[in-house]
Order: sequence, then C-alpha cells, then structure tokens
Amino acid sequence: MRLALNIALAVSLLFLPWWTGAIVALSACFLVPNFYEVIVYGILVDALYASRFGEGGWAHIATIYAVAVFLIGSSVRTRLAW
Amino acid sequence: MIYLKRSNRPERGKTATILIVTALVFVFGIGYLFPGAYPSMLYPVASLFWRAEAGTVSWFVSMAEIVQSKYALVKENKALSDEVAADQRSMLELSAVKDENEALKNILGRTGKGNYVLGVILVRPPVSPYDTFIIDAGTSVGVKVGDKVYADGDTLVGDIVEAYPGQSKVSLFSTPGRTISVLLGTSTVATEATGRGGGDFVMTLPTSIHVAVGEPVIVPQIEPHSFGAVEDVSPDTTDSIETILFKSAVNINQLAFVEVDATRP
Repeated sequence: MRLALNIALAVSLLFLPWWTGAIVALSACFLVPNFYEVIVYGILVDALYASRFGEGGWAHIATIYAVAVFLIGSSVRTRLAW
Repeated sequence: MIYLKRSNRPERGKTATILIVTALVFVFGIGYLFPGAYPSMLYPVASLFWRAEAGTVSWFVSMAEIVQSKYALVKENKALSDEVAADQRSMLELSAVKDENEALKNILGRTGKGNYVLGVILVRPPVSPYDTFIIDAGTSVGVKVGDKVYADGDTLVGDIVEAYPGQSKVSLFSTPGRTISVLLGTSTVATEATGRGGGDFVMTLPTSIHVAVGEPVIVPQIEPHSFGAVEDVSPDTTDSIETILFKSAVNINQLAFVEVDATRP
C-alpha cells in the first residue's frame, strides 16, 4: 500500500493536475501510518514549480499543505477504529 | 513494592520520529537556503519523463486521428480551408500595417527586433499549481532570468524566474496577485492588471473611463505586444468604480511552444 501510494504521488507530481496529487496525499495520510514521505513530496512540488510570485510571494504552499495533511491525517487516524 | 518494567518500544518510536523530523527540516532547510539546489538536480531527471510523456501523448493523438471516419475528416478539411482563406485575407491587412509600423520605427531609429529562443513547454498548469511553465530552453541557449516570454509570436505571457542549463521556469503574469502595467484600449489608458490565475486578469478603473467589451489590452513596449481583450465590465454598487475582467490573448492550456526574448544583455 505504501509503495503504491508513493508511486501514485510521484506520477501525480510529474504528470497529473496538482489537485490529483493533493487528493492522493490526503488519502495516503489517512491510510498509511506515519506517511512522512508526503512532506518530501510537498518540498519537491515547491522546488519544481513554485515562483516568488506565488500567492503573496510565498512559494511554500505545497509544503504547508503536506505538513497540514500529515498532522491532520495522523491525528484523525489514531482516533478512528479501522 | 512491585513495579512493572517499562517497555522501551515507545522510546524507540520517539527517537525514530525525532530523526525523521530532523531529516525533513534539513531537506526543507536546504531548499529554503539554496532555492536552486533541488531544481538543478531534479529538472534533468524529470525532463526525461516529461519528454517521454509528450511523445506518448502525441502517438495516442495521431492513432486517434487515424481511426477517425473519412466523412469527419472531409468535413473538417472543408471548415479549415474556409478558415485559412479568411485568415489569409486578415493577414494581408495585418502585414501591411506591420510593414508600415516597422518603417516608421526605422525612421525613428527604434527597431525593437529581438533575439528569440524557441522553448517547448514541458509542464504547464494544472500540473503546476503555481501558474508556471517549465520549458526546455535554458542558459545553454542564452536564456536568462528576467527574459520576457511570448506565445504565438506576439502575446506576452510571462518572464523567466529561474534558468538552468537545459530548462527554465516561466512565471506567468496571470499568477494570482501578480501585477503588471498595461495600456487599455485605443485611448491607451495606463493602469495595472492583477493576475487571477489560468490566464485571467482583473483591473479597476473609474467609471468615467468608458471601457467596452472586446477592447484590446497591450503592454507598453516599443514593439507592440498584445496581452488580452476585455471580457467583462461590471460597475460597483456606488457606480464610481468598475471592475474589468480580461483574459490572455492565448489559451495557456493549449500552448505547445513559447518564445523567449533573450536580447537583454
């Protein structure tokens, strides 16, 4: 599962619309325990595509999103029974 | 008293978490302190995949075209022939105006001719969430940070924000929140347009300046470059200010190539 989600994220990052990667990242954080890799994907998206003209001149939105989904996903996961 | 021996499993987990968080902070720190470090390593590898994808997509498109019915092709051919004839008539008028414009500039000693480099778009929105293009032209062919980028020969779409040997990153002027000075319509009212993403822009002007739908928006340069055309004009509730929406003259989702003006030293 972890490997499949990593492949899906890598493919989304390179070829698919950004919102596909965002949905896969959110799902991965719910499905896989401690899916730290999502933060690395966030950093890579910013490195590949961001410019200083991004929203308000801040080019780390994907990293912030990745940290947020990781924290929310992990926290919700520990409180849910599967 | 009897105490239960504590398991050391949580301690191991804590150490692993601290190590992983430290590694992630380190990875982020490198990217933050040296913004060019990751792109210069990633672009050469990623562009191999992007080029392979472009080749595969074009193969599928050509196969789909082959299996189209003959009737549809004949019909399309007829429509395209009519379109070409109409375009040729317009081109004749346009080339006459361009020649006149060029002659006038030569008389005034302002030629505005540039050194253009063609770049293939490897990645565009919506794959890029930031309204940026990645193109396959880089410093090795003379592209520099700050060079202006044009589409369809004449329409200004953005500028180079990062340049590496084989690839460059283009920031589109329609990036949300980015502003650019433009001239509006035949009256050439100078104002600032703000990007809204995906090739859309917004600007506000007093209602005393009468703006009509379809009026051209151009960028103030010696070489006239089209930028867009007014799509919608809506006055505010007090009727003193109007919000003008316009689109880029090209559809950024359909572009395959761009031209980089690498004239600037």
